[in-house]
Amino acid sequence: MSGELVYLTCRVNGEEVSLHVRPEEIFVDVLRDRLAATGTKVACDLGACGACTIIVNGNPTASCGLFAWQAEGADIQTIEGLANNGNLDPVQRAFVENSAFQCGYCTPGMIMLARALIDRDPAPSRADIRNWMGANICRCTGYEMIIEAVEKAAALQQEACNE
Amino acid sequence: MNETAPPLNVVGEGFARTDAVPKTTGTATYTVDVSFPGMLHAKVLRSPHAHARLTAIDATAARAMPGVHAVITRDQLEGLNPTYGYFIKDQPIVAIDKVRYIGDAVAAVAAETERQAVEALEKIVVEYEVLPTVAAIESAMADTAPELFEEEPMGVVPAYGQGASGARRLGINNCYRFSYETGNAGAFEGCDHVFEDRFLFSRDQHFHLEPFVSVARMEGETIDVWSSCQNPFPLRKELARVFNHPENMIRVQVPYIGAGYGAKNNCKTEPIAILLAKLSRRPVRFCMTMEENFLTQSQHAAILNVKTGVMADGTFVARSGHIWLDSGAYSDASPLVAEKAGYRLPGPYKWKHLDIHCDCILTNTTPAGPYRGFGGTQASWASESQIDIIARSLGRDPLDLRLQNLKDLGEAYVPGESGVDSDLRAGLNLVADRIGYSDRQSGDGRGMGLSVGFKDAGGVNKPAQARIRITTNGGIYLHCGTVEIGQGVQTAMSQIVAELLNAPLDRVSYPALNTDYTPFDQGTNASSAIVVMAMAVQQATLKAKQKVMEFAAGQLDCSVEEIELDDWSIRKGNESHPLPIMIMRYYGGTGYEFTGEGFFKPDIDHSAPLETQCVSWEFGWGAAEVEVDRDTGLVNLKQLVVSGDAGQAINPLVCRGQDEGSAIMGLTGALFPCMIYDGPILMNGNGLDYRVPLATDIPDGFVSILQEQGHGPGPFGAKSLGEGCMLPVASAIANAIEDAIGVRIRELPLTPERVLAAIDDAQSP
Amino acid sequence: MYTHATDAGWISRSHQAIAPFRLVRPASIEEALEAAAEENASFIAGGIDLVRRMRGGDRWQTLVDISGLSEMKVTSDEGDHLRIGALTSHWEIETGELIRKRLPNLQAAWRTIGNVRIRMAGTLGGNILAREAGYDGLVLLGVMGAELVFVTSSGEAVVIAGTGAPLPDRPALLTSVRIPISADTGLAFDRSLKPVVSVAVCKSGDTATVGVGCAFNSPRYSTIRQGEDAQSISSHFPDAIDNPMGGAAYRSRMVGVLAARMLAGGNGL
Ligand SMILES: Cc1cc2nc3c(=O)[nH]c(=O)nc-3n(C[C@H](O)[C@H](O)[C@H](O)COP(=O)(O)OP(=O)(O)OC[C@H]3O[C@@H](n4cnc5c(N)ncnc54)[C@H](O)[C@@H]3O)c2cc1C
Ligand code: FES
Ligand code: FES
Repeated sequence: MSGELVYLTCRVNGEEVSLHVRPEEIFVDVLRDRLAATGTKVACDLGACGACTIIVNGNPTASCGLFAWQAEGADIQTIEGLANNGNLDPVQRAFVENSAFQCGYCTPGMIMLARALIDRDPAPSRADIRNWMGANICRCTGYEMIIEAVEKAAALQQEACNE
Repeated sequence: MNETAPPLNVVGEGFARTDAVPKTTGTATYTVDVSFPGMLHAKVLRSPHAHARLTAIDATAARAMPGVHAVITRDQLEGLNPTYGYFIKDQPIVAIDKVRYIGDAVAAVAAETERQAVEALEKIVVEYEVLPTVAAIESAMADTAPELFEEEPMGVVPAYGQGASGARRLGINNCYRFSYETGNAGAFEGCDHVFEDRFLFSRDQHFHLEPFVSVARMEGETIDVWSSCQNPFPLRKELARVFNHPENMIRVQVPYIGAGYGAKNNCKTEPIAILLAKLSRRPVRFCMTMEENFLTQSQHAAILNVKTGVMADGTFVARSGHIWLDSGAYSDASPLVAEKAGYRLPGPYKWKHLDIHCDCILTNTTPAGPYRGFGGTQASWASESQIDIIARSLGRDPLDLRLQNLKDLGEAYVPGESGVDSDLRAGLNLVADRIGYSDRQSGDGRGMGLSVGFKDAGGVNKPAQARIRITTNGGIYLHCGTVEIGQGVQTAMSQIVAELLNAPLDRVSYPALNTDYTPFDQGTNASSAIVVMAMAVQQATLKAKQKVMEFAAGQLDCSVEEIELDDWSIRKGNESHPLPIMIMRYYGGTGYEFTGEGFFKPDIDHSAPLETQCVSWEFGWGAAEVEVDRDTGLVNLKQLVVSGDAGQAINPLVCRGQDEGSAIMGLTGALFPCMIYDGPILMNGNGLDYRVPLATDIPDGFVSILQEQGHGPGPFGAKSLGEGCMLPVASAIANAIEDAIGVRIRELPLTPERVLAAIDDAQSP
Repeated sequence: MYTHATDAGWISRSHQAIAPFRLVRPASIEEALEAAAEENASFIAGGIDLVRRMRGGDRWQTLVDISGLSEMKVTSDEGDHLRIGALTSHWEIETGELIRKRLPNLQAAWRTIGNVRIRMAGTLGGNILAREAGYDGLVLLGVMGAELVFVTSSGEAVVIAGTGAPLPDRPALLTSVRIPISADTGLAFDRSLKPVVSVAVCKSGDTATVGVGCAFNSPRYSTIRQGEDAQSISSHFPDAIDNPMGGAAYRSRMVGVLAARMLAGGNGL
């Protein structure tokens, strides 16, 4: 048996998206297969690792565990939406400058997770950063360079605001 | 470094990685992102039994299911050489006569959607005759144990040099033995003390985030396969054998890889994807789930018996050891891991006699294969734990005892081997000082431990080739077969090329690997890139440069000695001559490319135990401080200090990432539960139940210190890095636990329950 | 193991093989109950547990999305009780102003659940109705004697957590949880040994309730009186789960160790 298609309207990286989705369709496939936004990655497929993290209404969210229709009306940001006309977001810049990645597979999720933190708290303490970033798994880096990059991203953003 | 060397411009700088922007903007392409119109999805039916004979299999109903384009059971293996492996070809594409572990592939379907593939698999009927199982090393070796292979699979024992040997099928389920011996066996008799200990090592899973995945399609009769794979050339060779297909009609392409840590070697998803593509004539994607990763490859669990003879003054004399590796259900890379575990067991100490055996024992569990550290992790765990046991027994400080016995810089590891290329004492003192070892307060639940992780690096008899192309306008392409798997090789190699060509880093590109045109490499492994491949890269670059210089000298009517390459111009005295103009004047307006080829291979040397001398020695010095909760057994890691020696860091940020990443990977085997088997059933083989370290698990006192001692054999004095710092972690922590509570634990992982049991044991009279 | 087994073998699905279902989005509790009364229907709140299980092979004919039922998101002060709506997310519990004032210890304990992604998406109701032995919500609410307020087609049904009373069968809808304010002062929680065992204690007068997660198929509770040896609480519980993840003897002993420790600390009897 198959359910009726559901009409979904949401904003992805600032653009209005409307499409029909199957009830069982998962949001990460809307991104990867329908919108050709393959930056978001899937790893554990269980909500545990955070490789698929996107920002939904300001909240870092595992897109592997979200039915597409659950995004109805939501404002969604993905890794593709951060850089503005080729100018990297402060979080991206900090990850680049600090080499806070290796294989890069966790990186889009890590960056979105960090982005959501700095959106809420522009000057998080190191302990806050460790705690928050503890949501996502990176098997490559040992995390210290990621934590330092998030600290730096907050500083870069402050600088940009002060200018 | 020699005194006349000019200052470095690019090498040694912590530049942003050359893959930074693609990887931070989501534009880097991985195999999971590769897609073709009409692409089908493969799914696999896996054995529910740990050991069973396959008496019947019927896939008729599956073939009739909607969306299904191809189905593989053993019947579709006709005409192929359907088994693969490294030394021993024992693993079938899908089960033929037997299944040998829970998760063994039995059948595969390619359908238009994954759900259709799953629904078709549900229609396959299989009859099994269940056989007795062996789920652990000891039961698998018992006289009465059921054999996984009643008949000897096809395979080889390679040639070894001085003191080393290999053998197959020496006992039940024993698929390979590596042995090494040197010195006089009577040496133990002259020792004042002999220590015998048994250590157990649990198995971690790589937990690479990008799964095993490939996309295969037939382009005419050419097999075109995109794979998340770290040894595409040996894979091509193996696929050619399995499919009886000409090598030049197999193309393996490797985009960015979401890490591997050793797992992504040889056949994994590729044979099934290719066979389904051949049958369906459609592109086929076979992407495993993380649960399937756990059923495909793991590290080796091990039992290690170590016997060490020392003099009363602490001088190390003799060591013998017997290691048994749990190989899981197929030999995979076990024989190679056995070589290394056995060869590395002595550690970098001055021995007079060594006698070591390492056996690979097949069990009805997930096949074990290459895993970062490659046997060195197991060996270092036992070796470095026992050194503390000896020190305590002799009433010596473990730091002192190590300093007394470590090899000197340049001293041969064993007869016929190359000399160690780091100052081991300097490294050990460095981490000991940093953690505050000599001022520590031992006991009362708090303590510190040290360890020296060690491995030979650079692979064995490893050839590498590289090619440089420089375009009219100075665009540099570096073609080499080391895959960017996260280790930063693209950046490091590009920095070497840029340095040698006096060019800015952004002029160098590192095209993704394609076996059709990338020069040969044996594989991305053994921390070999910077000491083996980099030598080929250096040679290719210098040859290309030489061509440019000779061309320019000819154009300027002078000698090569009179000119210098300055970015993409030629400087002659005060004059600057842009190369593009010179090139187009001579080669025509459409331009030209200069090329250079490079090659490197260590010489065959029968006096070296592994037939070639080790290219570089890799070390990881570690120090840990712990606080142990005596009531719960919980080990609270307070500090972890690790250090590796890069010789000369090509990019210090990349080096730091390697050291820290490997140390935290090592922490998994030390303090996390690892793979938990209930008999042959894996209990925690998924991303939710399996615990790997998170940012919140890392103590604030975690530091890595990068050493650049300058003795490496690679370009600019670089040496191998990237695995060393995982090696000392578990033993440093176990040594710290003994320092804290006086209890020695010989079994990993150091879970609270195990630590508490050891505390209880120590207290019971 | 998130694999789906047939007689012939195991199939590991990804989320792309989730079985189709009909989606219902009710506007009221009544509509929700009505939709859920259909055969093989399930509620879905945040969905993180349900999606995970459907990926593993669970099938539902109908999913009833309750996330729009705003009356189930309210926290209200009822004097001696705080009522928290079942749709309240972990994050809202962790940051809620009223909860901070009235149930500070519960709030602190709640902050240790999972991670920020899970806490933002997961709900109080989903945590309880997932019926997982390792989840923390019911361990904490059980020792506090919270009232779990369900509505069924035949009206409201209240289950006092921690009494061992069974949770009502589907399609009962948990609308809110009423937590006695007085219980908060005596609350402490130790999850340092998860997933082997977790222990919560709640002291009230001269007795303390001890709740245990992970060690049994569902959370278990017992009480201990002033003067009793706190470590002996272990013997109040049946045999714990015994498997290679954690031995029964260890789990059971840790119940005593952790409970005694918390009771000897700020929450001493
Ligand atoms: C990585 C990870 C880590 C986690 N760590 C922790 C942890 O440390 N501690 C912990 O306690 N939990 C943990 N969890 C679990 C998490 O708290 C729960 O998954 C979450 O609370 C579920 O909420 P939900 O709203 O998403 O549930 P859903 O998935 O929507 O629902 C779960 C179940 O409850 C039913 N249900 C939901 N709401 C109601 C209701 N109001 N009335 C009746 N039935 C209802 C649904 O029908 C379904 O059967 C973790 C989960 C993950 C993925
Ligand atoms: S892939 Fe979504 S959380 Fe791991
Ligand atoms: S960079 Fe590889 S997992 Fe994080």
